[in-house]
Amino acid sequence: MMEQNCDANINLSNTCLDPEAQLLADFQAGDMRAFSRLYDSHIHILFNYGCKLTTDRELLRDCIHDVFVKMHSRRDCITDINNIRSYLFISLKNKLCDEMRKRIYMSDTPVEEYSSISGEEDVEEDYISSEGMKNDKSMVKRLLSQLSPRQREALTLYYIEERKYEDICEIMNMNYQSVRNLMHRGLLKLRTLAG
Amino acid sequence: MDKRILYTVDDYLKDDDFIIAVLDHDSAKLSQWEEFLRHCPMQEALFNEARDVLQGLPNEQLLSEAEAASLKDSIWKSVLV
Repeated sequence: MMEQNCDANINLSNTCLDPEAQLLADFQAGDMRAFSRLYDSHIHILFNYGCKLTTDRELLRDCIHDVFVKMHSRRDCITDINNIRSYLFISLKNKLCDEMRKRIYMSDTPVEEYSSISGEEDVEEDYISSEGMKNDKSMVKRLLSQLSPRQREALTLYYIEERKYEDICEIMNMNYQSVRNLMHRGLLKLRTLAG
Repeated sequence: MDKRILYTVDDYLKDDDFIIAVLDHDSAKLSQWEEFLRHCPMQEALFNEARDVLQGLPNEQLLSEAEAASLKDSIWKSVLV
């Protein structure tokens, strides 16, 4: 398409598009066969990458669906793709993070711990899903006031301001494990107080 | 503080600069990571682990061919309406 007139004096390998770039150019020109080949050649690696970020296969399939649909609808605008693989990975990662944040599944649990939900996570889940806690702001306020100032700060940053652990570490000038411990103790205390 | 000091494998896998450096072999991004690891050598093992995850992905097929085909169908239905 763009590279039809290769200058004979220039090394051909630098001027002609490689097969993947050609495929991308064909797709952007509206060729559905190229779109089909892009899907076939990336779907498995993309799915495997997604499995590193979530265990929810249904969510992952939905997000991959949306990534390809969006890529198709924006094919005229996405001119700055250098590498289709990294474009798809980053799009999927952003989509998954958005969806997980929406579902309050967003946790900064390291990927290797993701499949084994520990008791600590259950305490957090219980806390979040407790309707009484959600609906009664004054009760939350009263309970929070009984925590130590550091515990209250960490829990407020995480659950109310929805900050990431990294941000909380920075704001509170503490390391990752200390923040986790602080929050864990705070949640246990809340649970006891609310129980 | 550079937030990457606290990075887990999961954080690397979600970092755009990391994805581009590893998948595209982008030399500018790669040298930024090398610079970071020089200042923060304790992150090297996690960095390498995440890189191996990203580069080693095609080894297993977690989505069946039938699932891949049905997902493709639903994408086509959405784009062809």
